[in-house]
Amino acid sequence: MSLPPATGAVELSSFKQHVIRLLTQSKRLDGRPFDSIRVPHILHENRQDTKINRVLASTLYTDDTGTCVNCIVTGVFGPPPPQHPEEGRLTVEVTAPFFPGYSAFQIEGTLHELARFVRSTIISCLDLTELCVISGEACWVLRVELILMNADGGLRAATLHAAVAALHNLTLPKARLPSGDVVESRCLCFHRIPVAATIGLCGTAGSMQFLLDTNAAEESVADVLLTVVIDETDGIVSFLHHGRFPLLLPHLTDAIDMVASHGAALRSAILKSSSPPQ
Amino acid sequence: MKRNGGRETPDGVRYPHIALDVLGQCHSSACVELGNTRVICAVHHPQQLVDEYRGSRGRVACTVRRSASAGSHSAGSAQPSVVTPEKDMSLALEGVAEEVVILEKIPQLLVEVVVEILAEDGGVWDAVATSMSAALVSGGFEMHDLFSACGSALLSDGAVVLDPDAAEESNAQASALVCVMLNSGEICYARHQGSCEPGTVLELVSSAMKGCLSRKSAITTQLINHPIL
Repeated sequence: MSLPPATGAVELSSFKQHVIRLLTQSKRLDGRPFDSIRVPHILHENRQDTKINRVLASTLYTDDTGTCVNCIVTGVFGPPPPQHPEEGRLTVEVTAPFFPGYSAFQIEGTLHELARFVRSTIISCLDLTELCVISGEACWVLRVELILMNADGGLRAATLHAAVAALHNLTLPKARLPSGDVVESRCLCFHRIPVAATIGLCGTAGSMQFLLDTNAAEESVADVLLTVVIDETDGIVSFLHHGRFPLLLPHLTDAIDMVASHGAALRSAILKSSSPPQ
Repeated sequence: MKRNGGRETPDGVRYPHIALDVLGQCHSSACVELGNTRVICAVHHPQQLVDEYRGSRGRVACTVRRSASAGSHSAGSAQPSVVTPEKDMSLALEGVAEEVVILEKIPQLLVEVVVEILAEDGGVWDAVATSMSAALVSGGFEMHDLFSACGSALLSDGAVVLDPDAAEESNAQASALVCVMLNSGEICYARHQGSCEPGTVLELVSSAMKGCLSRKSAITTQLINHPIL
């Protein structure tokens, strides 16, 4: 469940053989050690026309290599969901417009799965009752749009980090309902801040190799892919595993420990606010 | 009169800021900011036209997509319809690309161009045409000329303004758009909306042409100063 790597003019099968050959020599494509992550950089955009466009937040997520995600949060008033009248509404949409057209059907399922993953993870860390304005009548409807500019593996982690950076400390502005009531401004906060990383496993010569924060080429050759989401107390928020064979419990705990050792660095990188110079 | 983007006169235009090669996985790409309008154009690696087309000329296919948060007039969460203004724009851009790109130099190749409108405050056609021209140039495709576009609008008080922003576009009685080759001055695409007298249409089109050509030095300077080109 990942987007195909950008091989340029090289055939995908030849690219995979090249990556496998590098991995047998304990090397990675970008020269990183096996247990290192790509530290994200978050750029918050301050738009002057926020009131007109209903854009509440806009962040640009990049890391040192190819991944680039643009996250735009818009908010409008709407009715609350009938089954949860005390809560607000949150929708997540992931698009990848810059992939070639011939792979549109191939990546559509991946994008839907990404949106569901980001939404479920955010809902488990964010109190949706903070978005409620009038119980049963009016609530904030937040729409999180994630545009994948460049995709180089670790898409669940990248999209989740971009969305968390945009939603954390988001100010819902002071607004007026159609009925004339004035809604005061409110600050949206996470009660726990999730960070995620993707881990690939390659079984070569009987030994298991862990690749932390895989890129797209490694995801295409890895036997098992794990996505681990943890919070500040190193509690497991979400865990996704799919691959060609089942894993034993020590492998799972080793994977969680690898992500937990980099959790503080990831969290500080996401929450550090950097704005373009005025 | 006070206008958006620090302009004081009706014939003031917003100058584009061009960044090349912003996307790593594409053949070439360009990001253009025009005031509060931001557009990214990507050119994919050319593919072989094997089954559908054989001949001595290549093809340029264009797709324009608008981010759901880009425009202020995106009403709610309506279902995406089949016929959209972006579809019209992509078809017109394909016609412009056929005129500008020397297709005989890329026989039996399909060049796919994707444009994403990230933020919109009027002048979308201007930004899209400029970014597509910059992306094709940085991709190494042989072209007759650079091209860009400019719009003009007739406001309700009778004034003709160049490069209208979103508020001026929505309040305009009539508007015109011209896509022009920058060196030769030939018109690749022209469009008029609204209703006005025939003389005003000519005035709108000529104003748009002047605005388009006034950006020529800004566009060529940014393309020339790029280290790759």
